[in-house]
Amino acid sequence: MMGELLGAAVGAVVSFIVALAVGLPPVQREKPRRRSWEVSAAFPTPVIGAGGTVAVCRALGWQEPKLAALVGAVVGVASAALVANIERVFPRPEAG
Amino acid sequence: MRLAELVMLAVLVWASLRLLAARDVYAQLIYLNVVGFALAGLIAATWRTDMGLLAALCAFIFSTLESNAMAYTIRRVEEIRREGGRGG
Amino acid sequence: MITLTWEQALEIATGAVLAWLNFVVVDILMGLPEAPGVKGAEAIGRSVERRGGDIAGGYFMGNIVCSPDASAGTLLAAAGYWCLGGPQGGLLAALTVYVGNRLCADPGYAGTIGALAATALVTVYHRVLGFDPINFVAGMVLAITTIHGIDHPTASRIIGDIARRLGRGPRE
Repeated sequence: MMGELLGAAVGAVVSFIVALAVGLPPVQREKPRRRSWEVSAAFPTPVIGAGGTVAVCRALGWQEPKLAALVGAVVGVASAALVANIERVFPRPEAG
Repeated sequence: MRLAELVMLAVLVWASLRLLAARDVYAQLIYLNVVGFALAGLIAATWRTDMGLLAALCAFIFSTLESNAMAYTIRRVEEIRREGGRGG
Repeated sequence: MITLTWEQALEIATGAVLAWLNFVVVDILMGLPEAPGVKGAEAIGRSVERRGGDIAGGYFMGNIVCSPDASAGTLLAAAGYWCLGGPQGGLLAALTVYVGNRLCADPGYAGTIGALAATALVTVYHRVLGFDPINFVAGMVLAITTIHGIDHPTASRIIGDIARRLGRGPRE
């Protein structure tokens, strides 16, 4: 359990840092932030990083800390890449 | 059966009855939302495993997607009927 | 075989109060009463208003039906904690809620923040209070019932009142 949580923490941190590195803003700049469709390094990137790490760890059965941390690092990079391209991967629907 | 499961089952039955008795379709959608909550809770309670969680997540998220689609479509049909009536 | 104890009842009641506060506060602060996020939410909101309710509360309820919000986040985070045995379940739930949000034309703040906050609450509920996480799940089901399952117009007026006090009244 602690292993997975460590992995998730690594996933969140790595995704945040990589997101900043690829040019995402640290937080949404549009205000009020709660209405903004902008993505940033703070949201949703670490959510995807942490949650994705847990999902992959569970799927692979890798719950030991070092393996989970490795998963976290890889998923973190992937999450940042995904969020940077989110409009292409997961476009926002026209208002329902 | 735990009290938690009994409570969720009671809520599911209660909300289903309120749904069937409701006159307004939008009220029915609100009661349906409660049914979704209770159902997802019962699924997670019954299968305390990874798949149990996945099933509960899918059940709930899809029920929300469906309710969204239903509410949109019902409203859209109302609008079209209203425009159609005036246009003749 | 049914085992019912007063301890379970107390735990469920505590879970219900915590879950109610979590989802109501997060959803109101994230703006659910201010405006309908999608057409379906507007239709539901107006229908509650027609039945004697408050429009801000109506939009709140409509937004909950049409997209995974903090109520969904709270339920699924608690279910995740229960099924996976710890907060990692809540993190997985938060990811899923975010995906659901994007599919429902919702930027996702209410759902994910609600899920993450609920993960923290369930962790305290389990580790500090020593309560069984399934009782938090049942508590959340009761909490949503108080708003969506009993009297929509009255519930909408209560929510609308809290929303205006927190500066999140309807923007029209």
